[in-house]
Amino acid sequence: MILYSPRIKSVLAAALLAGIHGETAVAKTAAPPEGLFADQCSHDADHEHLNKIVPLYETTFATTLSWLEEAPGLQLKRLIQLNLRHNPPDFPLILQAVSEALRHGPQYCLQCVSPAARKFTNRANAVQREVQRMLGFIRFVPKDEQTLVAKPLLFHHTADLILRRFQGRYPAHKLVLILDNCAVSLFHQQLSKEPAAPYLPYIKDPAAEELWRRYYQSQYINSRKNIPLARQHIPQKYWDWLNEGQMLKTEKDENPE
Amino acid sequence: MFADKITLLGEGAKYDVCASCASTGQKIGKAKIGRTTPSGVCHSFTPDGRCISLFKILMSNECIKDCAYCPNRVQRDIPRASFRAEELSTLFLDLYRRNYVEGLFLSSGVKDNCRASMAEILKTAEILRGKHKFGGYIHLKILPGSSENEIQQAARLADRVSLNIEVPNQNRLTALSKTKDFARDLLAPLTSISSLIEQYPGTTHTTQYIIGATGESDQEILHSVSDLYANYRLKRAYFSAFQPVAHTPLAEIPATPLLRENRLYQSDFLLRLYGFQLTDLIFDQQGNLDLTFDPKLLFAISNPHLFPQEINTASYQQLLRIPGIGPRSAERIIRVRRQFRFTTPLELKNLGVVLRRTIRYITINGKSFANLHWLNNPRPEEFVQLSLWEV
Repeated sequence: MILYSPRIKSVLAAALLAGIHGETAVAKTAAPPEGLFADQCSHDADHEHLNKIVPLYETTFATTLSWLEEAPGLQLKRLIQLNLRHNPPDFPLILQAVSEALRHGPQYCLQCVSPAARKFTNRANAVQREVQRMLGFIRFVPKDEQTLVAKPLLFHHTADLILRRFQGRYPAHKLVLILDNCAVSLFHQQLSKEPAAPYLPYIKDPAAEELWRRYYQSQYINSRKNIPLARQHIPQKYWDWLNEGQMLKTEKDENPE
Repeated sequence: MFADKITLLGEGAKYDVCASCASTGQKIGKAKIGRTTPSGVCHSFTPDGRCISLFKILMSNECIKDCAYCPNRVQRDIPRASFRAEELSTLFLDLYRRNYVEGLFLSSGVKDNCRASMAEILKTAEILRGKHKFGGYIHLKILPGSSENEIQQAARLADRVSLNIEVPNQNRLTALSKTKDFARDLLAPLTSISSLIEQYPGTTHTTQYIIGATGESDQEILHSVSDLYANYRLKRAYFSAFQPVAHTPLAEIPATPLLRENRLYQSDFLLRLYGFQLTDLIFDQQGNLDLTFDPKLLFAISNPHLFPQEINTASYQQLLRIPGIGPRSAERIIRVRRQFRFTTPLELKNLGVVLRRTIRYITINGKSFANLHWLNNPRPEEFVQLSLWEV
């Protein structure tokens, strides 16, 4: 049995070792492995160096993995990283998709030829989609001239990714996202964790919300009403969180499908 | 303070189509706030499913023009309001800072004369770029009849400029407005725009057609669109299905079906991204697109000699002609083929190909997975397409 951590290098090392030795790879989680194979750990992927096991894999399978350091390799690593941020991560799926990429070439996985690769990419896309959605749906409330505060609705581990994407838009501002039990902030490229309490009074701004509601209503063309299309873009799970969700609800109830 | 104006002037701009806020250019060096993104961001969606990414608003809904379809035409008795450049720029910046919008889309009625209204639009953009160092997205409307100097200023300040052509030719324009001249007010400014935006890298221009208000055919519209793409450096054409507005001369004309607008967009995509020519599109005797079949499917049905295509050997252009395969899927197929040979439909499905539409037109590794008799006798019920537009 091969043990690995939820880190990109460790996942890659585990997939390579699993291929070379024909053994099962298991993620290191809080609960140690139980049962018949509990004490059967043959390799710890965290202690292996990729520059040693890559040549071994290439020799064993008469293949070349030089692409791991090129664009397809970087893309695969990015997908692994996004999968690790998915809540919850599916470790066996990640391992299977990476193993397929090693066996059939990177494009087999990156272009989603197999069902596992499709699922692997879909889960990475779900994380990316959340980041993209939050870039649009988050509403900041100014705490002072320099600080903007928001409470996002997150289903995956994306707070830092979102803040980094906002950085270019607000180069001179301190951005604060309030999570369940803390606040994550970004200021001058420095990410930090802070207590949420000082920022909690700045989650809502009724005057701005009312102004936005008026504008939102002014843009709606009633004769083109298309709730299924609207719901496709703003899934219902966001309706209670978004200011305009109430209007979507009302419009949906007025003409139930 | 601004709530009533927002309602009035936001409503006046809602029929202007352009949700795109993607741009690769940066208009100012060191922005204090805002930047453009290459892929754009949607900040909300209205119950009609349209994206809100830009703060789309009129400078003023006072207008001396008499466009027959327009809710702001001079003869309509409606509440009128105007923003001043300073207050609009402050309001917009506040919404931008709070992340409600991704950029500004600014248009206006022609209040006293075109020059004054265009000056107010330019002043707003100038305040944002100069005083507030705003580096985000700005889309400015060019009012019909604008001078070359005004167009140049707009192209310098904005990421995108647009002039609504509305109809494909002078004959159709006569039915809409007695005060506009197609060559003088529309084609001449479009010519200026296409040459002036060259001086400002990153600035693009678009236009918009109103569909079904003057009895024009789809063929006329697409012919005009192709001409604009070929000769006027147009980035994109938008289409807006005509909706009658009360107390206008066209109030009694029925609304244009949204499906017609959808078919025009599909054809436009085929022309821009799929390598189709206008002659590849199939029109009926009146010059309109079919509302049952989408244009690409109709092309396939009308050209059975081109199918089936072998998925492992077809060229990129050939792949793009197959229903259910878009530029992205075609690119993926080509990439995967370098290392791997397709043998089953499931592999294509995983890749993102819409198998339900594609399977009749392809062979995979020499084998067909569908009955090909339909090629000689297509029946509409076989091709019923689900569409989010048909509510």
